[in-house]
Amino acid sequence: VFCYWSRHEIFRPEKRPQSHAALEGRARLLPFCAAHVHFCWPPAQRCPKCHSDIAWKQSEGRGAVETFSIVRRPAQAEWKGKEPYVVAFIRLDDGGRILSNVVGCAAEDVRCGDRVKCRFVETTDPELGLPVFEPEKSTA
Amino acid sequence: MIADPLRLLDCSPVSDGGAAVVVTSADRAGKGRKKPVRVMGAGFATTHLHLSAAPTLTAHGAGLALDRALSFAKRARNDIDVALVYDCFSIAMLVNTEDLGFAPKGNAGAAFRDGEFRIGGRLPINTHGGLLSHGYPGRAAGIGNLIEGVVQLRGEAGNRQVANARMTMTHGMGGLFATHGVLLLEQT
Repeated sequence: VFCYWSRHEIFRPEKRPQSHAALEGRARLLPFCAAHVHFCWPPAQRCPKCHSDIAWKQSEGRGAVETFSIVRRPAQAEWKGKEPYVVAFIRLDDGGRILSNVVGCAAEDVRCGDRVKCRFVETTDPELGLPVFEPEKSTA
Repeated sequence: MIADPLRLLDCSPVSDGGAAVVVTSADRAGKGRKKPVRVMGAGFATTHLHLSAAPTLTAHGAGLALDRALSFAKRARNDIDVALVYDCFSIAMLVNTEDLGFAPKGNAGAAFRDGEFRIGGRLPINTHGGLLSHGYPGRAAGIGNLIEGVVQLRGEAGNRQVANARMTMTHGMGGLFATHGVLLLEQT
């Protein structure tokens, strides 16, 4: 997956979480705005609400599906063959709304309000993890 | 189905195209071969950059941009004779039409079905078909809406002409409901 935001300052080697431990699926490190007490994704150089500094912080990685769509026609070549897939806004319990995917279940089974938990998947950049969400019940 | 619940005809067709307007002083405008229209007011509003940071997912900044343009122009909403609303997708048309104050929240769909926004209706919207029917040539799409406003004010719209169109409102949008611009044009 091409990540335009991987050029953001917080992804520079000295600012990245160590070897991006997030990839291992345990650390759940996400960009965080302390001033607004929320996580954000896609990542930004500055808090999208108040322009405060953004730092990496561990999230509990639990939340609920706020809204979603099932994509039937991928817009980018990288996603071809993965349709149908779910693009969703997730409300994290520890603050913030992030853009992500719901995986690990049939796209047709997703509902607004579903409880989900975060895991990271690999991208074409070996050092970057992409947070996705799966239903809490199937992985408890 | 493209992306639930949007089907093929809910999405504006990406197309080739171009558009341009000439902006000049009132003095020079009168010397052209075409009848000029007057820019009465402009307004902009940005509520977020990425949609994930939007204050709500059901109302955005179009109405605030229109309020600012009306204040600039010293005009009121009911002075608008034709509205050109940015409709990259059918849902954008509904949300923006409501945010602009032309229908109560949740009622734009019913108002369209009842013919309130057709030519001869309460407020004709997107007389040229908008992005959904006229096409989506990238950045030129928004200027296409502006040009339809000019065509209506000049009385050159043929069988889609709105009778006595004296003021038009053109609304444009950038990003995912992020940035809204409104331009009010009036007959000279």
